[in-house]
Amino acid sequence: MPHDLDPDHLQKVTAEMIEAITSPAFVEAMRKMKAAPADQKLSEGARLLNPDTLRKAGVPLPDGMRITSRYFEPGSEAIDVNAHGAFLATDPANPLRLAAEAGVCACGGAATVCGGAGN
Amino acid sequence: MYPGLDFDREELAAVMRQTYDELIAFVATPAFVALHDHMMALDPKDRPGFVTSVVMNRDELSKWDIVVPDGILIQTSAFGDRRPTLFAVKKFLPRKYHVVWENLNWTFDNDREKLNVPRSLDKAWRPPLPVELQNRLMANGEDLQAVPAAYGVSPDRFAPAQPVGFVDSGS
Repeated sequence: MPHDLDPDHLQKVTAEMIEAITSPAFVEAMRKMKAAPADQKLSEGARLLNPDTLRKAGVPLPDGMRITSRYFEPGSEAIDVNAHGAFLATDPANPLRLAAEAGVCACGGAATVCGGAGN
Repeated sequence: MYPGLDFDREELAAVMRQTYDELIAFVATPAFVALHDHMMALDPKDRPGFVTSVVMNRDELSKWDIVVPDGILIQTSAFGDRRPTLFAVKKFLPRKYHVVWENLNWTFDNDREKLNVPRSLDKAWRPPLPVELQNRLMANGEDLQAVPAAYGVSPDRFAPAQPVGFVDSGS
């Protein structure tokens, strides 16, 4: 059994993840879920991102993949992200804090380490 | 192209591959692996405290010879399915793709009991517990699944995330 952080293992897990979460049916479901009002996101997530529904739509979900609601604690870094996804340092004396983020996470992988994607 | 979007699957997959590779390059470094192995050798009740005092503290990380690359975040989080999670190493995708996916991450969970974490829709889509509550429960060896859904974070949290403040980068 490979170490949880074996690079070859992580590459394999993420290749399967990418195949699933870029599939057109998954992308369309995500767009619809993101467009839902905040107070309906959980119910819409459960409806649109139901693994059985996604599989029937042709999404190759890896065995063991989980799709759930997720909440990130606010970051405490002095950062922003530019149009290219790069983080920009800001004035440490006036740090920019990210708001709490919550949305959906799709995770697949080993028992205690999993590759995820979220919004 | 995906319908209604200005990018296609090949483009999205390529940027995801690059982003995952950057995350893998970090979490697979000998220094990070040593930290991870040390954490997982601790009693599961002691791991949340280790995350708070060491993993979330860049000064402490530097004592492990860990330098977090620019653009990579280490954050705590909680899931609707209540899996016992400790922290995540995360990187945002470029904004162009946020209409679909905003970030990729590696998530580190507390123990292998997540095999028993429910997969039913009514459980998977509960409001996640506040991280502080989740960590206290884990530190006390409590069952996260037993906490009523009413203790979850407010649905208001699921509004689009906005930076608290704005700094014009000029780029």
